[in-house]
Amino acid sequence: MSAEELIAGESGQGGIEVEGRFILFPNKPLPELDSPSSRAYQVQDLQDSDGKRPLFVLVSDHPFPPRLDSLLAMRNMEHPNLLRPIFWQVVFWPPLERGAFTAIFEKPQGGKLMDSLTSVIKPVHEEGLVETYITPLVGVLKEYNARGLSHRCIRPDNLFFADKERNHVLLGEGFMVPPGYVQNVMFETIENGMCHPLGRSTGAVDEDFYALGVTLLFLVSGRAPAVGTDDDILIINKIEQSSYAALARKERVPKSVKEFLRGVISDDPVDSWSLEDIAFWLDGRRVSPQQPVMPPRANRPIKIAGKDYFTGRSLAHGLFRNWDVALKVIQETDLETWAMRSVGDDVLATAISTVMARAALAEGGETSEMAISWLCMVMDPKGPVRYRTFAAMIDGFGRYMMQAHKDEAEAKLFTDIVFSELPVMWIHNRYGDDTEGAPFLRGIERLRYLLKQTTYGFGFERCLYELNPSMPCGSPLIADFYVEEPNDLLPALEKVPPELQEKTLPMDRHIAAFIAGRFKHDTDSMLKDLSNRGDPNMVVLATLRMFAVMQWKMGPNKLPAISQWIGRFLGPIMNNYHNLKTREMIQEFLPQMIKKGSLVEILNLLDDPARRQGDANGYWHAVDEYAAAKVEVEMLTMEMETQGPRTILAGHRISAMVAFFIAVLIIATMAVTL
Amino acid sequence: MADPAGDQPEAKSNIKLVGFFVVIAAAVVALPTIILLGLGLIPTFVAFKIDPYRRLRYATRCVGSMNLTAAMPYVLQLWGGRNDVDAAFAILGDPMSWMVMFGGAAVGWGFYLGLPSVVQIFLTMQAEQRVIFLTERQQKLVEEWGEVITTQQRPT
Repeated sequence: MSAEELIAGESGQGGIEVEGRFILFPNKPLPELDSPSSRAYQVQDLQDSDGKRPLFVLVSDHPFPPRLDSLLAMRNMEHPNLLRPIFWQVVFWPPLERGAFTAIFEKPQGGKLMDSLTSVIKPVHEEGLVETYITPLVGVLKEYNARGLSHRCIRPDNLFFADKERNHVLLGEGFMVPPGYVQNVMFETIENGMCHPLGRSTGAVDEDFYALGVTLLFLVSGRAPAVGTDDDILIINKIEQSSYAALARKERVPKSVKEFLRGVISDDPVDSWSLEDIAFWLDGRRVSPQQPVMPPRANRPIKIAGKDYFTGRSLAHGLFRNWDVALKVIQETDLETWAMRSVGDDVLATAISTVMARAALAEGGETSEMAISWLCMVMDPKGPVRYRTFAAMIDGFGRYMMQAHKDEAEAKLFTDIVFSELPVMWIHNRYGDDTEGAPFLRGIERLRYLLKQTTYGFGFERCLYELNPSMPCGSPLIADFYVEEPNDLLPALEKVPPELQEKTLPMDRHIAAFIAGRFKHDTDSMLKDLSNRGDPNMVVLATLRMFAVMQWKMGPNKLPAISQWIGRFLGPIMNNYHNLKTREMIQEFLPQMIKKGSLVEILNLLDDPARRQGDANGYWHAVDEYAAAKVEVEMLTMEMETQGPRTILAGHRISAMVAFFIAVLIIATMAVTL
Repeated sequence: MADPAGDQPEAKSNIKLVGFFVVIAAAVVALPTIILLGLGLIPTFVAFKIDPYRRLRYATRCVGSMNLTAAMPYVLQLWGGRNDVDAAFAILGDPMSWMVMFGGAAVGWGFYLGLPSVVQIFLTMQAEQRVIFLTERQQKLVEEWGEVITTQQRPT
């Protein structure tokens, strides 16, 4: 069925009705309101017959879940400069032919500030910048900060205007994608810029102000800062010149705003402006712009793949980005001497020396790939955990898994990293003995615990669902249904097309892990049975048991399709009962239960503990009785065949007794008569 | 203290000695009865001699019981009348008394030789009934639990 047919099938008007209030129109796109992660479409509000309040919907067209924490905060976060969703829901989206997360917003009258980051606009004047942008957007970020959240999607093409005059700015959504996932490197701090887009940190107000600063720089110059610069070069420039210098370059930034921008586009959290500093600045208290503290720069750069690296931090990035030659560079370059003499950083030289000695010890004299990671870590303690193609902040591990689980090699690489020393080293390197690192250490321990267990309900998949609370179930059976909550699982399975039901049970590693991670009930014993690969019946029964418990706890009461699906595999389960009459009884009632769609009743019919126990006891009793009877029959038969001597003996014994008693009787009678 | 093992043969020979004197005494005191029973119980002595049961003596018991029962009226006749050797020989001189005493022995032999066949028939019938009952029970078990129970064994 084509997308057009699917759309037409959803609604007579070519729209999809949601909650009986909104009609979403997949055939009426609004490309001017698209975001890098979502497509915009027209929406009709059935409660707004006059059309006074036009709406639009953003439909997420990427596979990653929305940010649940931000989304939930939207319920009570009301700020005039925030484009807040009116309603959100997962909807089956015909153009994608699968379920997709959608969020409905009031359509901003003034549209978007700019279509894309390549657009060029008229530079915004200093005064307009403060009044129209800085003050309102700082207000929004304060709201986020007050709730312990970060926006992580601040960029010029995510700014809108509520009015046609374009005076009332609105900050666009920041929940449709993982933190920083769609952000260009220019809007990300150095360390987040180095990461895989999914491995970026959740961040806090500092990361948001950094992005706000870069956005303002954009507005001041009218075009993207450092436009046309390669991401890696931009990162190196940020490291070696400071972010502000690398981005602002020779742009003419008004002096008063420069102070603010230097304060927020800071590479050092200590120097970075706090909300209080910003409030002072907005109150008009101007201070001289701070000069950033630059890292020590080497006199002589280290060259990798034709690029010069002048600082330890930039070299760390260079080694990571040129992993194939990094080992050769380490082996052929005396990094310790370079750090001591050229950079003039004795601390760094000592750290490099320690790492190299450790690497040599660990590998019996050979420097390994792991040493590259260790070196990156000591040369750039703020940077991400890096190994081969992996680069993620410690709190981005979970989100990185959303990508890695699709690729076996990436998943293995991730698992190797978790079990290596890298994460713990990174945490100690970053936080020392500070308690701030404790939750991350616990997180790594938990990851290792779950990854070690390869049975159903554990392993990579379980980590995926535990670390990403809004991650939909990735089972191929229900991937199109966007199952985010356990109570959506059974209804989704109910809709799985029959051709997919033929050969497999409605259970796989993803479904098991999803239930184990999200369903707040004890599933351990069922998971154990699910992993019993030696006994397929046990797996079927565990699946039935798990789904029956879910149906009992969350409904729906009727699940005929799943009942029929599982019913196909129940034949051998009936044979678990030895008693043929019990089997006949089950065979008689099972079709009725399946038709009824009650997994609970099917389970009770098949797995009644008292019946099962009685059956087992009866069976073994019957086995014993049969065997005893067999032995007795054999013995009697043998006796009948060979009874001559024994019977004769018995006969002689009886005859002797009879004769004796007759004699006694007669003699006694005679004696008495006489 | 004397060795008990060493005393045993001596005690046995003592019993035999006592028995000998008792028989001599009985022969002196009840010679007519001894003569009567000695000749009347010849079938019993023969049975004793040829008894296949050397220890339990079933043939001797059978023949002896009936032989003695048949001889008892003549013994009582002797004891109730003239109890001398002539009287004993007078009884023995009557062919009827021989027929009665030996007939009793024949009845004993009849018991001994006939009853085992009767017992065999009875036991066979009993075993056959039990086999039929057990087979039917097995069939019912198979109907209830399936053929599998015919080969299954309870795990130890």
